[in-house]
Amino acid sequence: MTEEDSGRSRNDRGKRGATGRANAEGDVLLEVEDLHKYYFERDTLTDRLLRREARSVQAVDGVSLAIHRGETLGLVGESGCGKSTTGETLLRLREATDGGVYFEGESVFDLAGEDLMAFRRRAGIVFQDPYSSLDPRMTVGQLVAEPLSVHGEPADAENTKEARRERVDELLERVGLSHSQRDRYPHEFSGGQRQRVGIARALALEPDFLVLDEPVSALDVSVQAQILNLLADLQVEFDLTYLFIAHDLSVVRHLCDRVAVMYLGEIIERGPTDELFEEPRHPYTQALLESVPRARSDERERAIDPLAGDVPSPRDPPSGCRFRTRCPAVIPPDDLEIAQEGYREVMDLRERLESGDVDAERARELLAGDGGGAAGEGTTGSDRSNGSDESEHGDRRGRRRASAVGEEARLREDVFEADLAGENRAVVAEALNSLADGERAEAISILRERFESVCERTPPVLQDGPHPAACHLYDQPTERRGADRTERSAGDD
Amino acid sequence: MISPRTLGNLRREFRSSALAKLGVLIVVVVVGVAVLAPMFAPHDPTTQNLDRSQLPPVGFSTTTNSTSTEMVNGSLEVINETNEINATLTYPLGTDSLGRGMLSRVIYGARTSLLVGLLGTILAAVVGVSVGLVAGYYRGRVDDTLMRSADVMLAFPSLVLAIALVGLWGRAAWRVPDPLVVAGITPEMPASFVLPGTVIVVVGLVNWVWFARVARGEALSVREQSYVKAARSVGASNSFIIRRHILPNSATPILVLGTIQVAAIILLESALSFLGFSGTTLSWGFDIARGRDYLASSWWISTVPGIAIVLSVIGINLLGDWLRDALDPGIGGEGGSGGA
Amino acid sequence: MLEDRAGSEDAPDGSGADTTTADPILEVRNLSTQFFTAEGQVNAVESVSFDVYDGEIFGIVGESGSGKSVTALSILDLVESPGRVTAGEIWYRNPDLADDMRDSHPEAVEGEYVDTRRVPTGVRRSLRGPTFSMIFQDPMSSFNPSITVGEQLAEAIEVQRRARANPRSTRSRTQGYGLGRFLTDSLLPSRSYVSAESRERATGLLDQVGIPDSAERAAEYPNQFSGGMLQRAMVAQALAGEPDVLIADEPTTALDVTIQAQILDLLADLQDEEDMSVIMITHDLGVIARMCDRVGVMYAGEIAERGSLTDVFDRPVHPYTEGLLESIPDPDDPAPRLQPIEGNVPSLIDSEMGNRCYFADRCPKAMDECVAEKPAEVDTAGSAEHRVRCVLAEREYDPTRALSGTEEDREREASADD
Repeated sequence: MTEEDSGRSRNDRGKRGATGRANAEGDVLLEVEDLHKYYFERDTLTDRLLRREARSVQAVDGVSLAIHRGETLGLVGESGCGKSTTGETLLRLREATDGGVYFEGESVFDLAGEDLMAFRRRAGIVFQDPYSSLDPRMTVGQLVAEPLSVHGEPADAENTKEARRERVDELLERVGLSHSQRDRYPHEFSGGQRQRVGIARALALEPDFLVLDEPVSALDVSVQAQILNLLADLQVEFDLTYLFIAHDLSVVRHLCDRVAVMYLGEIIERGPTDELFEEPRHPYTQALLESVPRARSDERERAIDPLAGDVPSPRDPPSGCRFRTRCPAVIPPDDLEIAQEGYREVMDLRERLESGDVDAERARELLAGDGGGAAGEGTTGSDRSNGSDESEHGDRRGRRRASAVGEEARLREDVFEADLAGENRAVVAEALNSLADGERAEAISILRERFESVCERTPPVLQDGPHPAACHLYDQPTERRGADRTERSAGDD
Repeated sequence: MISPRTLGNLRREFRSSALAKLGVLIVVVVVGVAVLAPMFAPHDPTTQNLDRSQLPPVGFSTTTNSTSTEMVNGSLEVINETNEINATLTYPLGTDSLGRGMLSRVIYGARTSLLVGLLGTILAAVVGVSVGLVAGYYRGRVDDTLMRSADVMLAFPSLVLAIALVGLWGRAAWRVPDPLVVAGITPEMPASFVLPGTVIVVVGLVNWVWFARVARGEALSVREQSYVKAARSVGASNSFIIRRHILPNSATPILVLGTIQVAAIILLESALSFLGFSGTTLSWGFDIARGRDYLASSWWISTVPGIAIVLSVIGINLLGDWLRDALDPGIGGEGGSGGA
Repeated sequence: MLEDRAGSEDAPDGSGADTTTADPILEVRNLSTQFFTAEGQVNAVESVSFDVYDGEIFGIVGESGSGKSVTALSILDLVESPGRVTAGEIWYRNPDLADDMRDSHPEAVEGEYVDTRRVPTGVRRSLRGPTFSMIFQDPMSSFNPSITVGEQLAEAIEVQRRARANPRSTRSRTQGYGLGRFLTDSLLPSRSYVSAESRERATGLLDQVGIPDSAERAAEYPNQFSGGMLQRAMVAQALAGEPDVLIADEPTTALDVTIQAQILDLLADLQDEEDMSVIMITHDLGVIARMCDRVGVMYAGEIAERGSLTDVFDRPVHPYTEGLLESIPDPDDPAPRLQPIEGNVPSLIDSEMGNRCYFADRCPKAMDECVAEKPAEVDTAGSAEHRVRCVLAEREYDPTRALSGTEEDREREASADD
């Protein structure tokens, strides 16, 4: 997907001075290249015996990232967007389907034996759930000592047991627990204290890089702030590099130097934190930011326009831009005269039609065939003059349709909330009419012919640069390359 | 490995449940009797004494009818003689058809049943848990292969399978030394006491599937816990993870299953010896089978071992219920205090 | 109007000083719920009082373990063993019900108000649905996975419909549905508990909560719905009885932020259309700010501070409220460091709580008098509805009287003995 050469990504360096680290100019610690992780469903013996085809879930689909030494890179997205899978795959806790991860230039996926153990020592992870991430049958001391015993550390000490205990005490104190709590079990601790234990365990091997997988999202707000501050302090003290995975944008703003936003397995925008928060470019980032309710008494006056619909299934992601099914700024064809609200609704209807939610029966309902509510098209049609704006091409098609469809194909008035009139409305009516007659494919193609957007044809590309957004609203490579990619992704499916 | 909290739960559950107390009482009595069999048993369980055959248990009496023909006054006369046989305290539970004390037989039978139950369960657990944990942890092809073969095992009725295996190997293929004697806990047993090794192996091999299924299910869920991922993230090997995390966190249901399996195996052993497929004659099931012919006259020969089986199975199951209730985190309370 | 009742309370009641002209639809007074566990008696809710007015959204905000959900369950009388509502009154304004109850239960009636705690269980149960209904946090586990969404919704409607036909029956509304009916229903699919009009209304409700192609969706099973859609369906179910008071317990916590925005919009619209009152329970102050007219902040089972949204957000008196507001990261503000509240949420075990302010251990402004006696809920200098359970309402913070020992000492102490 996006080939990010390290030369370019140097410019991406977080410009935030808040954390005051300037040493890491251009020094890439970990690089992810075109990472893919697919899960396969229906892949058991029984399924094979029944010759059922395995179905792939595209959890991560071509993610590229570069994390610089000493920085915190935020990876943000809603549940199911693949952010946690990315974090676990790049640590080799899950097997990648395709792509590469390079830690200080060395391919992580090719490591084995001693080298792999060395990588494990230098890259760790803190998990989201402070309850399931601590083995309930081990004491806190045993938990924190586990990485040490796996690596046989400290190796040079005379009395390993004694040295290990000292190290555990030191770690517990550092994360704000007392060494007297060493022999207690996790259930005796609150959520925040457990998360401290998890952090102490991750620090035990003195790593350089930590994946923080939603470390505070299971905690209460007052405790959340404690943990975030602790993480920030530890980063300075131990010179750590973080990949901070979160669904909560406000938390990200406080900790991260740069942020990458994920949607359905892809990174759709990346940039320095302040810039991304103040001038989000991708419509999804904008919507995400807007949706976070602010804890201020004037919050009710802030107008927000929530995204409609749900995240599509990663089993069958939309063609082209994956966000197009919810995008409030989906791009109509150049020659189509249509307001954005109306276009959004037409696109939603197309989606429902293609997925089968709207069937012949439903189409008949939407068409006012019995004359009762049939006034719809006539009135709205005359409200808006359509003839003058229409291209000649449209006129011709209009005439053709008028003869073919005649009076019947009228839409019920309440099919669309937005004003949709004239030719556009007639085309929708025609398509529904075909559907009502059982001509599904015909209906789909009628609508596609008129309304097909660049957003569904071509997947937008996340380009290089300090603040790129994978969206057709912004500069995209030439159409030719896009066409290639369409074919490729079609082949992938 | 047993945390103070677990002990607390066990104690609390024990205090609040009368059934748990009953179960523990029965099991303690049965185990005590079995372990100290040579001390408790008043007679050698195999010494025959036909003079004292078919004595009833204390508190009961029975009659024997003997019919004889005799010449009285030149004619042949049938004389029906009814003898009343009274119980004696020497044989509190009566004697069987060969004059062996039922009490002693039940006591030695308890030892057979419990040892077969325990050793068989341990064998089944070792095999089953290993298979199950490996299948559940590795999933995929390993899982497919192991668990499909387990399914094949399940397709046979266990008794039929056991009979087939005993038939295949012979009843006395293996002699297992009595572990209690070997460990020096109890004095030397009489020569007549034989631990049926074949049966132990057979019941173990027949019952491992249950352990495999439970262990696999537990492993499947435990492997998804973040602490397993955490261990992998620091480079822990698979065998380390299985030993350190998967096994301890699967232990509770396996332990509960284990207690119930002891009862199930006792039943299976009894069934086998009832059908004559056991390597020993000192067994509850064997006595029930023998007593079948005397049910009309000497009901106690079958009934006494039958009651022993029922009681010990109930006791062990109650014990299992107590463990399950006390160890189940859903009931035992994971810190949860009414909050949001 | 409620002089008697107001007079009987420890603290002077605000009913006379209400700035709102209307009477509250719900007055909760000194509600306490305790759990009797093996570890001891847990005071999940302790002496909680608040009012809910017609057509408003009242928010209850608090951290986990603060007792906010138990408060909701207590109002609905859904607290389960080992928990029990041990004290308090829940006055619900309903003239018809008051008339019905006046003769049989005079002690439970006061003017137009009925104390739902003192009416018989059957009557209390009959209030669930047409009076109080609830939306839960996890929509997935609130639906039966083996029945279509439409059918479940229609069932809920049917129950309410039958209840209306036989109002306030003290018998169970589903009583007619015995084992025999169950068997015939299973064997003869045409016989059904649910009538055709209930089905139709179910589709209508799904439409109302913004589920497109509702007729088709009604025939689908819960696992075919996304989380957001299912939460909409649950809202529809809660609306089935046209409730006076809708209790939403963390309705958006399990949802993504963009879906949360949809559901909050939906709730606000519905509240407007149906003119019902909503009690919104959440841990998210942002959601409170977006939705609520008035708010109560809960801590350790008590309402620490309550008042209008501006009272609580702009003029907080209780240091806990202040701390909570400061510890929230703000997406519009790049401040790199947050101001957390130190320490951890206290245990609510009765024997460990003592007669003191429960927040004193974590409070940056704790003074000696905070641990001497539990502060009462008092009015503040601000608006009439603004009430606080804190000594700072009546005097300024005085550093010379600060609680002895540094904060860290106290924290260490607290963590050492937990």
